[in-house]
Amino acid sequence: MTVHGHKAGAALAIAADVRAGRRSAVSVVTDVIADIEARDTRFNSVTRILGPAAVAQAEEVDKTIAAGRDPGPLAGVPFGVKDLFDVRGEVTTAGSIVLRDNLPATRDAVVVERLRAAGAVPVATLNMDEFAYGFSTENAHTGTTRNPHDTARLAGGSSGGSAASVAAGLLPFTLGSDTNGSIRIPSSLCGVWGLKPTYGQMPLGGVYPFVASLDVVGPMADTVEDLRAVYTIMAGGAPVGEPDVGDVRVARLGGWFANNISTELTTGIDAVMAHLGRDQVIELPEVARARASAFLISAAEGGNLHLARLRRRSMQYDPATRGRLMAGAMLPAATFVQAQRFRRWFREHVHAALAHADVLVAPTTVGVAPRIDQPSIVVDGRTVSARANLGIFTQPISLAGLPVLAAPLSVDGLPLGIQLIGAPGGEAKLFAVAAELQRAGLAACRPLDAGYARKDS
Amino acid sequence: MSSAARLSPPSPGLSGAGGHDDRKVPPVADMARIIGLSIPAACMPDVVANTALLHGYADLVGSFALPDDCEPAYEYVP
Repeated sequence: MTVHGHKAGAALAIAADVRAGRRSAVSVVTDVIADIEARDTRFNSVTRILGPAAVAQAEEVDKTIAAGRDPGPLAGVPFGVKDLFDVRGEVTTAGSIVLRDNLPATRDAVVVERLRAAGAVPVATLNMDEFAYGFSTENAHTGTTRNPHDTARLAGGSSGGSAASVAAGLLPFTLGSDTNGSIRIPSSLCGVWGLKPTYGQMPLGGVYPFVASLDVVGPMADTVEDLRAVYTIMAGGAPVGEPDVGDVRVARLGGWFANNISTELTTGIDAVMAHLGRDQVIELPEVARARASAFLISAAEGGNLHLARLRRRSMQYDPATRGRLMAGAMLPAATFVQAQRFRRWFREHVHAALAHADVLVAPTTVGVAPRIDQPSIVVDGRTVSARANLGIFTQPISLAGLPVLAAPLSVDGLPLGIQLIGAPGGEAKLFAVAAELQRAGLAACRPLDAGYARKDS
Repeated sequence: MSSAARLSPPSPGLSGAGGHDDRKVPPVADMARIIGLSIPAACMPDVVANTALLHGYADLVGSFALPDDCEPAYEYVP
């Protein structure tokens, strides 16, 4: 099966080739590293290449195959991780120089460990907003990640390196984290598939925290098939059967989620709903307060996490992060508790809405990626900071902890994306809808130049 | 059900760092002192702007009446 000329399931295709002996894991990994070295200067998506360790692991995969043993379902598949996942032998920086003197990790993050056990090979760490506090991947220490579809534009964030490296065709899949939209927003702006699983579902061991109340980790990939495969391994479980898409009740979110979006995005959502044969519109209550609560909880927990370091060496922080963390650390307890109480209230009303639909369709951002030299968006007629406001459609959903599959719409021009929002634990229904949108050509990731797909000569 | 019409509190707006608020200036120095935080002078305008932004959101959330039996979502299960 191909999707617009692109082989579906690039990671799975690599694994099939490696398992069958058509390619060696070492050749795949060395080719990918060479490709990153040659092309990532344009995008700045990669912060470190894990060369020797990656080649050594690839050699083990090849030896396993030569010995007739099972190398795992992702044998020899290279991947990258946002720079807040522990990778054994590497210092986890969380995109900052503040942690650079920490000792290297002695073991992988749990989800990295699971992927490695499945034969996948971590080859790179990826750029991000410092401490994941931003939506733009503009980092004073590591630079700005550029959108592969227009390098004058932002990739989005905070998992910008994770999205850009998939969009550029440097890596078939990557890992990111999502607190307020940090997987969904860059996925949308770079035109890749992404999944923010249900809050609490994924193990966070070995993942540098940001906001304990909201943090989730998940995959980004160039096809639904790869996204599903990687998610299943990360979750540590057997694949779950997906329902027939015709049995999935789909509605679109109105109100807050229908305002401020571009004409192209409205048209794209119209097409999705028409294809699915659904026209129900659901409005969630008090969305502005939900977004504000997520904002406040993030500021308070993030600020508290860094308070001790801010007291001693605040000037090491990225200026854009420092002011936000300091302000958050000073938030009164009354504000934090009220936001957490509101979260409980909002949960009940979201569940009431989900009694009427299995999947809710909403925009991810207001429009295409902002320009790097004009990092702003227009909301309610006002020009506001992209770094702080790209998450107006993602933050309210984060507050509720719902799973969201970020789907890249098939559009002419710059990427646009939508959120497929499910009930807690409802990932299988999200995948069913996503697969149908990909099959129908309504959603697709179009990597620039999939270097990893090149076969051995 | 309807969502609130406003994106954010009317003041200090959405600008994040660099925003301003003529309505009130948070007592940032005092707040910082309470938690033992020293804010370098060069950082103060940015911290004040972000504090004002958060206070705007706090006003928005704080003005919503919640029932007494609505507990904080510390142990949150979606």
